[in-house]
Amino acid sequence: MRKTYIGELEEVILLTVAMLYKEEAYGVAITHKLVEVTNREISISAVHATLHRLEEKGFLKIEDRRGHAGAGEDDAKDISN
Amino acid sequence: MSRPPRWPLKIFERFCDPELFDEIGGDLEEMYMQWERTFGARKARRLYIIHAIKFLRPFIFKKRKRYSTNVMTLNHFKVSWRNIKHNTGFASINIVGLSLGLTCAILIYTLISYHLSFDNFHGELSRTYRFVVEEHRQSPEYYSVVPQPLGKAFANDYDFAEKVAPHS
Repeated sequence: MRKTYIGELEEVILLTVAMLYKEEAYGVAITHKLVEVTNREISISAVHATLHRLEEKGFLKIEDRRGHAGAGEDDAKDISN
Repeated sequence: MSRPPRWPLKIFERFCDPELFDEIGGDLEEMYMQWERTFGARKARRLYIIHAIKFLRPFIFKKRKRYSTNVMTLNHFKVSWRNIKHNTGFASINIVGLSLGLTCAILIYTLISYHLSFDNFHGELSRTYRFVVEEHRQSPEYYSVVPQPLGKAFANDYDFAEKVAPHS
């Protein structure tokens, strides 16, 4: 674990993942949920980058669920709590 | 239902981490479909390209595998030892020559630094000189003894002689 503190966007996205991970917490879903809940526009690339940063810091694990939902998406799983 | 342009992902594919590539491509495509539904094909196309460019962040690049650097070391030693054994003649010439050269260099260095290590405590070292006598007979000989009037004569006749002093 490189750094253990997280930034504001990372926190928001981590919380969103926690909301979504029972269904599908992947890039597009997280982006939409963020727009829906916080009413802020965020680009899909920013979400991806943040997810990878969070994974690097060990707050979540990205797992490949190809063939699960048909789209071949990688879902994020919250492992912080 | 139209298709998003191909070229952004084609460019991506070259340097993007293959695991991330599927993820990114899938998400971009899904976004495209939604944009098309809300804004129409033209704007969706533009947004798709913009967001593809926005993905050009450091994390998408292929991670170079870092091998530990000392894996080959033992093999290198082995191979060089075998080469030495195989070309005994040249190897011994090289080794002897190199060690001789190094020895000479080190010896010369120590000798010279020893000779330069004396009388370094004077304040104006670069402007201080000492008279010696050099006598040429069968072979040149050196004495640290000079005729007594030399000091005075030197101080009188040469204006670059600031101060003269005898010492024993």
